[in-house]
Amino acid sequence: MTKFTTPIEPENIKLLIAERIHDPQLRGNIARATKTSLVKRAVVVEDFPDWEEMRGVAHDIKRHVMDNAGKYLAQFEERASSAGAQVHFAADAEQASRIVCDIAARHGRRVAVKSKSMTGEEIDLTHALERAGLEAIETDLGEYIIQLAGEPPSHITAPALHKSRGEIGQLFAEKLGIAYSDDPEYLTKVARRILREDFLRADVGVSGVNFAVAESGSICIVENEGNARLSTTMPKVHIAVMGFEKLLPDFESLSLFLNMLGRSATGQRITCYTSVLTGPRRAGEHDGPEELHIVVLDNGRTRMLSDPQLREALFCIRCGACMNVCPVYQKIGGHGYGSIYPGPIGSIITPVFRGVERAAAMPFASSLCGACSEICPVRIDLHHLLMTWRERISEKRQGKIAERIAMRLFQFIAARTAYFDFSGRLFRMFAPLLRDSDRGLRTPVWGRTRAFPAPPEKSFKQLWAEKIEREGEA
Amino acid sequence: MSARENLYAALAGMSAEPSASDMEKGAALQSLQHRLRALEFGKRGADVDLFLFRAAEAGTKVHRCSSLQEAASLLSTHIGTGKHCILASDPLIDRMELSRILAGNQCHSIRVTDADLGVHNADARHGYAAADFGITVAQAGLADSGAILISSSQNESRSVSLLPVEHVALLPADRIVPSLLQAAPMLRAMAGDGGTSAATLVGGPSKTADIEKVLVTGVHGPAVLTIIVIENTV
Repeated sequence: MTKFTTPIEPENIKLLIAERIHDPQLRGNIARATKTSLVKRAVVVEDFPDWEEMRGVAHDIKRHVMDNAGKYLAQFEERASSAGAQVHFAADAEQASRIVCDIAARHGRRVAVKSKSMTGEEIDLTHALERAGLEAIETDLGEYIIQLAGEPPSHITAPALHKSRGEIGQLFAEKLGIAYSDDPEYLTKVARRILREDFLRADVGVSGVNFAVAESGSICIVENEGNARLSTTMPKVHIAVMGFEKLLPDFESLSLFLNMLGRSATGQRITCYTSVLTGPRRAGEHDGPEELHIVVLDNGRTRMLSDPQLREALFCIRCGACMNVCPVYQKIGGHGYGSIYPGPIGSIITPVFRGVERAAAMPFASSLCGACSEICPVRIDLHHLLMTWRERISEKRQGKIAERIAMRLFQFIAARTAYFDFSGRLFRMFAPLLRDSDRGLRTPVWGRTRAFPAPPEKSFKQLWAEKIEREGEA
Repeated sequence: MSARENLYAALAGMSAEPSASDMEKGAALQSLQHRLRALEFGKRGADVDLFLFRAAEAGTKVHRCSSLQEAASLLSTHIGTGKHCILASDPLIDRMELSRILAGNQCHSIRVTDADLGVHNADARHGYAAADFGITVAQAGLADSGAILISSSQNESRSVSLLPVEHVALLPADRIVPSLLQAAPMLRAMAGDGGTSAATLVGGPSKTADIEKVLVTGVHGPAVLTIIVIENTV
């Protein structure tokens, strides 16, 4: 098992990438997993000849909700409260964690079962609960694996995607004291047996929220394993943490988004379990939590909403398709970005959540090929938002004098036709020498491992002129 | 100011069109609704064959029976002898006389209404967890995905479809709707007064692909989901 040493933080991105790019095992794990997801997705998206229009409607619904976020949040709060839920508000990660820990403390401060939540990861809730003296248990199989390994998730829907079955087998043997096996079926059964007891003894269940329905105050949680249903059913208290961008107006909108989320995330028409929870256990019901707490989190989201370009990133439904399709993600995996939100969307929202100083390199970890924008079910213009960040970061950046002089020179030449033509001719003349020589064109990263491409014999301008001439003759 | 007031103040200050009235918001939503309803996914037929096909594709075991009697005898064979079963309280299950049939098979069966599953009632919870079968009646079936809609009520616990090894759901054929869009009004009613704290769409057996994308069923919920579509429930 490869042991990486660099802490997974956005400012370490270059080191993180350098470590990972040379690990064939890791690259194989990621390539296999992302490709499987994409193939499965492609099949079920074919169900709808009007998938593009679906994306358009989904985009416009999210835009509408964010344009009226205050109104929809007030409606959600009012309905959820009248259904018996307690709605809390947190300005940042620390406040949110404190609210959750305080509730847990009132109920004995013993065992909390957690179902997978990216918002939970964002505020580092598991560690906060542990610091508050609770036993906090991740119950999603992927999360359970990385909790045992002491690692953060590497993908927002498949957190242990970077690990092979052999690595997981070794981990289970080491941490759980079972005989080594790399059989996924066996390893899953071991986890089921251990976690089933945890569900039955837990006092508090903690979950995220996929969608919040304003018209009824319901929260909707989407999953395949059943751990979210167990976490929100067995303990006496259920605490759900959500950003306000999870709001949807009504159940019709929900039906559209559920049709798109499962397909985009895992290639499923619908996931195994979709829970629509409205308030705590009602009179006459036989089980379910006695208390339901919903913690509504800001943590930089209002800042994003006030930004005319970046606000679109709030439309994200966390399907992970942009990661699966990203040629950079496919090579370096989630940990290569240093953020729990990796990939194209992660590179856009992390600078907001963690501060642009810490995450300034993330928007540059992209080829800008646009595959992310094309696959996004809510049609977020991801690669242009990456460009937006690049522009902002470059404008602020001082130094790099050579780069600035080069750009000035280019600006001067490009604005003058004769200079431009002449420099092009010079380049075509001398480039083959650069290509053949040992010295080569050693640009910092790109040129080190690649041959310089051969220049064309003629410029586009020359070819065009010849074409016009030929057509004139014909 | 509290976090709540701060958030509302921030959201009020940054709406794209701060002057937009509730009426304008309503009109905008209505036009989105109109576009949503024009989409292909809401216009499919309520096709029983498609439902069975899609459910099977998702790893659900499906059966089609023409009558309650046929469904009852199929269930009797399916469950076999000496099993531990939990039954939802439903007129359909009563009319199938499932309790009597299971007793004849030397099965131990309890009704959902027999036990409170609150945290204080650890024995009942472990009893549920040790059960082989949980048997419920679905409120709806979605033809385009093969999923069923179930809900928690005084007749049906959340756990009956969650803790046992196998979940068996009975689905009258006339409850099959084309897609989730047609089930939206049901979800709305369920979330309202007199409804339920938990409505759940079940689209297959509990599964995971968290280890190398290899599909494994029965992670935390039932390892087997069996749906019996009944054509004629009269």
